[in-house]
Amino acid sequence: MGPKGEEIKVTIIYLTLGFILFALFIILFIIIYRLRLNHHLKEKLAMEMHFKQAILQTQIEIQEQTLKTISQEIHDNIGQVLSLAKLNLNTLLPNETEKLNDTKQLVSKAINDLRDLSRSLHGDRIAELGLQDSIANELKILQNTGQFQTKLYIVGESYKLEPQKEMVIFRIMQEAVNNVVKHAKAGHIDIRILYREDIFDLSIADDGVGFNKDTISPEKTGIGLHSMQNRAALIGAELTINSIAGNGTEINLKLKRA
Amino acid sequence: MQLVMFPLPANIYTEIGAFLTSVICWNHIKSSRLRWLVPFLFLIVFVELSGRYIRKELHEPNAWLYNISIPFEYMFYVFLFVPFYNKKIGKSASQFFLIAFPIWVVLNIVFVQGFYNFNTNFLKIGSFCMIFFCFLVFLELLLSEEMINPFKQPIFWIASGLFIFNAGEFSYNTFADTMMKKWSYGKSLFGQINNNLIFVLYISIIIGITSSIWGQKEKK
Repeated sequence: MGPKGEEIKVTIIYLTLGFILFALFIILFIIIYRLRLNHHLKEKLAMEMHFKQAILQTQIEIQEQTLKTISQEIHDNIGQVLSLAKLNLNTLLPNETEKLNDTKQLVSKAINDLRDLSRSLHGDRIAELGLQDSIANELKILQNTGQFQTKLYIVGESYKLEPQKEMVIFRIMQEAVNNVVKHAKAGHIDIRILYREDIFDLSIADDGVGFNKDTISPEKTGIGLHSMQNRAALIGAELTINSIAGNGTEINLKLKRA
Repeated sequence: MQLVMFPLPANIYTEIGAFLTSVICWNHIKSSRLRWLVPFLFLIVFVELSGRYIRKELHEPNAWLYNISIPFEYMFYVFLFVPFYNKKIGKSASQFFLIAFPIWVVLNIVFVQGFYNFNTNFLKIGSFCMIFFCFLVFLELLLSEEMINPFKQPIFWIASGLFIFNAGEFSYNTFADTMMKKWSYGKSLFGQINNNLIFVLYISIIIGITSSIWGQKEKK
């Protein structure tokens, strides 16, 4: 190998090393840049989540406040007026006893229904009773209408969740039951609460007409389903809706305990 | 009868290792384009062993074998990258390459360098194109708005290995003609550089295949 050959050899070796080092530098740059970008994206995602949660929280607080006001109104005004009407009916002359008794019964029923409605709407009352009893009450009201057969199954040793979480879960249950009443054409509503050590598990099942959740329009129960999902997301619960047209619906909520 | 082709150099063992890794990880790669690594790596091992056998045992030239396998390798890697490209430039360039490159290789063999001579023209163009396509993979990684951990992306490892391999070979390929003709030491130097870079490339492929397992575990 002559001096020229040696020169070419050294040049090639240096060039090869130079190119390899350059390639390594580019790869290193990509790794560092990508990891930084990932970190930035993670922070952005966390901020977005936090913002979304804050909006949801505010929406729910406003909704709760509205329900509380309505409940108060029912109790203080309409309830009072009906009670007064009932008192007046008692003081009327007994000319048409049968008609009068019927009217008294209707007014009494209206007072009781309004009281139930007021309790069911009032957040404080739910906190006072606890989730399990509030659900039992809700089912009792439905059972009393005579249109539904309801059952509540409790599995495991019951425990209390944080009051705000219980409130949100109760509202989800109410929304689900409301959907059944309005759309499902069901005869039976079964609620099962499974108290597991690590997970609170609630299922609401009906034997109604069911639906295809992918094709359902927001005008029907779409908004309700969305609202349930939003509420569940707010407390970090996982909500799944299983429904087959003609075979009823089951809504399941799973909440990991802190 | 003892075969003189043995013991095999380390780079062939890494190729065999890459093939075995792809077979072992079959369940993890079968649903992606990486599944084609199994027949591809088998072919690579087969070509390497055949090439060595022809040269060492039959004392025949083996350049024709590499004239077929090397262009095929370039095309395979681009084929592997195609689904990863979201940008138009990557899609169009890879499609153009997959059509134009084999035509050009055939024309080069028939009219320019011949079938039995080692074709250095497609090494130059191929190396340059590989660097370009690897760069496009890196660009996709850099510009993606999704959270991507490059270490868990098989394509990143494969592209990195290929990038280093071709960057390393680029300078040699540029001088290949001069070295082969005028300087006998050239072949030996080419062999040394090539073997070391093959080692890097197939280790990257092994890591790439294994990284598909981590990626899937994380998704679960």
